[in-house]
Amino acid sequence: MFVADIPGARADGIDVTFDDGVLSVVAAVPARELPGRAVRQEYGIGNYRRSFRLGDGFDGSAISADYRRGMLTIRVPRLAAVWPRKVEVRAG
Amino acid sequence: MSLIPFRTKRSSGMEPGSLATLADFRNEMNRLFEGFFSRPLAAAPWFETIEPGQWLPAVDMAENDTRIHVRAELPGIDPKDVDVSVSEDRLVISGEKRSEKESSGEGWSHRESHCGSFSRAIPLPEPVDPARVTARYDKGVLTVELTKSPASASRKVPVQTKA
Repeated sequence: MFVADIPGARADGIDVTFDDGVLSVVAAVPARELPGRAVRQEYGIGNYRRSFRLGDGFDGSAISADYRRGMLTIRVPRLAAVWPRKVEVRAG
Repeated sequence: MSLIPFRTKRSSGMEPGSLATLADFRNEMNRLFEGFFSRPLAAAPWFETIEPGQWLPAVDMAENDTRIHVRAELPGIDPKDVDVSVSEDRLVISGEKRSEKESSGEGWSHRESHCGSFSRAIPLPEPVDPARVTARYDKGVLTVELTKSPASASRKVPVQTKA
């Protein structure tokens, strides 16, 4: 599970992709100018971009993403374990 | 084999510039660096102080002739957990960000985002009317609009002369 703070974005402006074991998040955030002259500016303006290499063992077709209250939650399910597998030896 | 401890020979009356002085200097620098980097820059003494476990949301503020607008980044917070209070010259935004994952009993393998209680007392550039304040929370951003107090508007002061 990934939880990312993306305040001020819109759900339709967030792209989540999983390609070749890499989970990528790109989010567009509209300009946030306040009316009047700036007195204090602490947070950055711009879009968000972040990638994570997860490697094999994850089910890219079953990823879910939920954006709520400025926070993106991505759930990446693991593939059912395939290896190692015990092979039964049958007697002839 | 025994290890021989490093001795500063502080009591041996060494001159300034000796190893003892360098060791003291190194220790003092270590103490300063540890104190400085163990807390966020925004929590440095010349900004605001925070308690351990607290965090400080980023804040933007702008003003025009009649109003002051403040925006604070508060992602992932239930608006019911946010308190906004206003005095004539100060806006206080406080509350708590709860971790959904902790309640589910899972652990984090990597963590960058803040969690826990927060509080910011933001000095206002001009006095405001505490009765005329609106606060709105949308997509993780809190926007507070304050109306400047009419008394704060500049006024001409007549210069009196002796009769």
